[in-house]
Amino acid sequence: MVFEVPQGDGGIRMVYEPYERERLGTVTVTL
Amino acid sequence: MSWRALLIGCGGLAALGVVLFIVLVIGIAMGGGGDTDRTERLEAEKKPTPKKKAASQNFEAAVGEYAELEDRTLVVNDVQRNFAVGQPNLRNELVRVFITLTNTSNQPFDYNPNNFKVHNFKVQGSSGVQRTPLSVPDLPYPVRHESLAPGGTL
Repeated sequence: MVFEVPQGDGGIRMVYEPYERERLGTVTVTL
Repeated sequence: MSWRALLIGCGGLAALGVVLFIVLVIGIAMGGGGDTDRTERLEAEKKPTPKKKAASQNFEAAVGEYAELEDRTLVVNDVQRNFAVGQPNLRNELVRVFITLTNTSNQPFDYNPNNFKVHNFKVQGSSGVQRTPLSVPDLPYPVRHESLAPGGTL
């Protein structure tokens, strides 16, 4: 997957949230 | 008499030597096992440790680290900053993210990176603004709205 982010931003994280199961939780990965 | 004493002394030394040899062999065997345990421990430390989370909680991971949810695992395998495809807006860059998503349950589930209202994957910068994936034609390994079968891997 390709994302457009601010140039040189050192605090970028990918957030994965299963929409079909609200109670499953959210995964945040520091890129 | 002195020859007899000498023979008895030699026999005692021989017996002591045998005992020392047996102790030495046992010590080497036990020491070798320790090295094996240490090697296994070091190998285990090199492998990424899956992180589990309880349901309904946020979970944080790093690149290369497995995030283990109730029915799936997710790992970001690699990240390419300043990815050279297309033309980002001024002061922006493109970031390519390689992931592996595995269905560890016995039920299929959907994933969808493209619908803004139900998207699974977002990237968030320092400002807190979240962005959905770009649609890049002809890019290998595209992620579309699909269903992941039990045991399947994206």
